[in-house]
Order: sequence, then structure tokens, then C-alpha cells
Amino acid sequence: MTENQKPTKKRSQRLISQVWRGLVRNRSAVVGLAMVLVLAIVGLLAPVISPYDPVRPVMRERLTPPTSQHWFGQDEMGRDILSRIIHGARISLTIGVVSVGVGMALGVPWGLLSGFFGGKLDLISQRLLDVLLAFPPIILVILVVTVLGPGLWNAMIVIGITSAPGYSRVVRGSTLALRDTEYVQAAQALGASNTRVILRHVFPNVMGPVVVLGTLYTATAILTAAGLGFLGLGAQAPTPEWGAMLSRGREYLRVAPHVSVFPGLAIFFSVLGFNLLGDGLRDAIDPRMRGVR
Amino acid sequence: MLSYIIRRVLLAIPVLIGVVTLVFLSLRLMPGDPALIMAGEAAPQEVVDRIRERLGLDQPLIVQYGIYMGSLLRGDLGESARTRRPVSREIGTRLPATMELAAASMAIAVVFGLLAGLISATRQYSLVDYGTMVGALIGISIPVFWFGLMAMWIFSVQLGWFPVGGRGTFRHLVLPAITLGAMSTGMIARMTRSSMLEVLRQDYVRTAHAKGLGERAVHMKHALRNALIPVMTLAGLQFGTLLGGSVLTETVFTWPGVGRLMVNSIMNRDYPVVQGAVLLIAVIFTAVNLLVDIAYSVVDPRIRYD
Repeated sequence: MTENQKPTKKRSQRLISQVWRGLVRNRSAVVGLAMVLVLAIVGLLAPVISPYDPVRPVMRERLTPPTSQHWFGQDEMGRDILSRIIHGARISLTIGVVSVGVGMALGVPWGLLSGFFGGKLDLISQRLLDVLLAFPPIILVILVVTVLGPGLWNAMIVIGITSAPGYSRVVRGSTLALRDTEYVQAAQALGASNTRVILRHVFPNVMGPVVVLGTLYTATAILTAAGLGFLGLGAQAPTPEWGAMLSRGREYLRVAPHVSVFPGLAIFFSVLGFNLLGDGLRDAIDPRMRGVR
Repeated sequence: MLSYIIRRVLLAIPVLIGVVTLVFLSLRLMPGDPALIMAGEAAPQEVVDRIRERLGLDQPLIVQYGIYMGSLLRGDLGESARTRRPVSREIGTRLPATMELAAASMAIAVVFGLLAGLISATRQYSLVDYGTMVGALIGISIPVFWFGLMAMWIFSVQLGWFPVGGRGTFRHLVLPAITLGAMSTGMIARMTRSSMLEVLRQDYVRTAHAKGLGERAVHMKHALRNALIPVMTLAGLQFGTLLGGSVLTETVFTWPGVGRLMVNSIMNRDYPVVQGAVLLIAVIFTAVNLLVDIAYSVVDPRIRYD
């Protein structure tokens, strides 16, 4: 540890504790955080806590409504719905992490470079952004999934790619504002390279909005992936993905509505949790971002 | 004013060219030979070759691009690999259904979203405010296809108030329109509330209060008109959400629109129809946002002088 790194660390710790205080003061954000934690714990412990094998069919018990042995009932192949939902939590978490990771990995550098260097690069990037934003998000996802073929991994990656313009737009805006600040100009006057200025002075300061957007996009990613699963373009059978489960349940809506009720509640719970947390983070980090999404 | 409109329209042209290029590339990047898919797996080689020649697939990519652009300008979107009918006709027969659904949902979203946002903002921190905002959050977080299924189960299967699916009468439209409009209603309600709260803090609102105007006059005449500007932009963007969401809603309610055609065409590997539908949706979305931008400049003259 060199000496000049210490104050930076303290400052970032101070910032984190400030955001944390803002977050815990916001009641709905605390609820959101708790919901996300429940999802994370259930997802991580899925193999331990799930009462039955999520993919093993028991045909003679198909479509059985909830009982004391099977709290959420059994699906069209007699599989335990609770176990499938527990394993589905793990899939939804993966969807969130992978697609948000892909989106950030593409969108953040894109916005940083575009905003920092401006000029032709920015002009071209802005036109590309205009084109990508001309597609309603799920339509763009469907177009690319048609090219790559259906499947859970393709869906996650495509959802990530199509969210990149969103990050790029927000990061570019913040970068443009930061480029003209005194401390960035001072760093440049002292002879710091562009790479150093971007990584040390601009990047840490655009991360706030990116974290907020990432949380809100996790909700959108889970929702979109479930939508793709529902359309048969996402996870394929017998993967216990919530959207795909709902799509099967739809065929038995009249005789066994429980097959559709519980996967939908699970999606709703996760999306609501991330939305509440994202709203809370936004209020704690940057209230001016209201209405960004 | 006119020059602003002309400039905006001209700016939309490169975007549309980009959209078409992207859709074209996706068609050509598709794994598998389009001619083979069209002819069918068992077709003899000469049939496949003939189709390839007819579609211009034996030409270099740039020539294919030129052919594609040329036929688009004539309104020719190619032909369906499955029915052999022109894609434009396939889509054209289903477009009215999708537009009907999107328009009804938009009407629901704007009317209820604005009302909810207004009531919430004028009674900030009241029980009504909390209730409305919880409702809006639910609207944003609920999966549209699940909401549709549950509405169908309760109101069609259990109570028998509405038909289970299909299109025709007003009663067919109610559940799909509410389902599709739920998310946008929530979005518009939240935006109206925060925009209204911001405007209510402005000096001119205080002035209006100070000169003794009634609460209603201040809210309606001074605050709402200014608060509506960001809401308008959002409503334009929400139209895209509605067009996208129609894919799911139409699937749930077997609504015979472009969204359902698109999903069925993906299943049948009928790619020309998929691409045509995507293209059409993107063009409609761009046009709607163009109109919103122009309307925006009429309402707020500051925009034009940027």
C-alpha cells in the first residue's frame, strides 16, 4: 500500500457507508434488499434446501394440487413445483449476473470512450445508439435470438448485449460532464495519460449511476428471460426456468392453475425485489436519476 | 418551426437505414441456407439452386444488400418461406389487430397513469399516494404474460365475464388491453408524479398561489401543462414497450396480431416473416418517437432552439 492510496480508500469507504445509510433509511429499499437476499440464499442453497429432484417425473402424480408433501403442488409431469422454483432461483440469479455483466462490460467502456474522446468516434457511436434504440428492447432480443438460436445462454448474452446502449448512454452523459471538471483538467495538466485519467478519475465517478442501472436492469433481464422462456426461445425443457414453467402451465390453466400461479409469483417476487432495491439505490446515490429508465 | 420538423425528419432517415441494414445482416448471418429452408430439407438440388438464384443469394453480399434495399423501397418484404405469400400481405392482414391492441393499451396507460400520478403528487405522503405508488410498482414488476394468464383464469375461466381468447368484439379487447397496458400505466404514473412534484416547487407555481388562484386552477393550468412534457417523451417510448409486449400478450390471449405471427414464424423458421415484422415494428416505433419529438417542440418552444 502506498501512501497516496490510503485517502482514496477512506474516501470510497466513506461514500459506501453514506450510500448504505441512505439505503437503510429508505424502508422500501430495505424490503427490496431483503427480497434480493432471499432470492440469493435460495439460489445458492438450492441443492441443499430443495425437497425433491426438480427434473424427476412422477407421472402418476401429475397435476396434483398443493398438499402437505408438495406445498406448491406437482406439474404436468408430476415434478415438485417448489423444488423447481427453488432451482429456478439459481437460474434467475445467473441470468441477472451474466446479462448485467455482459451489458456493463460492453456499455461502460463504450460510454467512457465516446464521452471522453468525443469527435468522430462519439458521432458514430451516437448514430449506432440511435439505431439500436429504434428497436423495442424485447424485439431486438428476439431478432438476435433468432440468429443465434434459442437457449438459456444465448438468451442471457443477447439480453446483456441489448442492454449495453442503456449503460453507454448514461456513462457517456456523466463522462461528458466530468471531462470539463477541474480535477480531470488538473490531472491532464500534470501529464497523466488518457488511460490513467479515464481509469482513475472518470471511471470511479460514473460507477454510481451504473450500479443503479445495473440493479434495475437485473429486474428487466429476469423479466425478459422469463418472457423468452415463455415464448419457447429461452431455457429449454426440462430446465426449471420460471418462464418456461409458466408456458407449460398455460396449457393446464383450467384443470391445474397452480402450475402457472407459483412460477409467476416467483418472477414477480424477484423483479419487485430488484426494482425496490434499484429505486432505493438511486435515491441514495443520485436522486437526479429519477425517470432514467 | 417548419425547419425544426424538416431537420428531425431528415435525422430519422439514417436511423431507418441503420435499422434496415441491421435487419438485413441478421437475415444473412442466420445459420443455415435460406434457400434450403425455403425449399425444404428433402428438395432436389436444382430446386434449391433455382430459389437461390431467384432470391439473389448467389450474388455478393453488397449486391444482395442493394437488391434488398431496392425491393424494400417498392414495399416488397420478400415472401414467406412457409405460405409463399408476400410477407407484406402476411403482416398487413395482422397489423390492424396489433394496432388496435396497442392503441387501447396506450389509452388505458395514459388516462390511468396520468390520473394516478396527479392524485399522488397533489396528496404527497398520504395513504392514497403510497397506495398508488405501490400499485404502480406492481404494474412495473409483474410479468405481463403471467398477469394475462391470471386475469384470464379469474375473469374468463372462473367468472366467465370475458372470452378466453381471440379477437372480434369489445369484450375480447378488455383483458389483453389491460394486461398490456399495466406496465406502461405504472411507468406513466411514476413519471407524472415526480414531474408534477418538481413543477409544484417552481417559483411560478408559488406566484400563482400567491395571487390567490384556487388549488385546482394552479394544478391544472400552471403545473400540469409543464409537468406533461417529460411524460410525453415517456409515453412515446412506452409505445415501443407496448409493441414489444404485444408479442407476449398476443401469445397469451391468442390475439391474431403481428406479435403472434412473429412467434409462430420463429417456430416455423419462416425468417423472412420474422424480419419483416421486426422491421415494421422498428419503423412504427421510430415514426411514433418522431411525432412525439415534433409534438414536444410545439408544446415547449425551448426545445427547438437547441
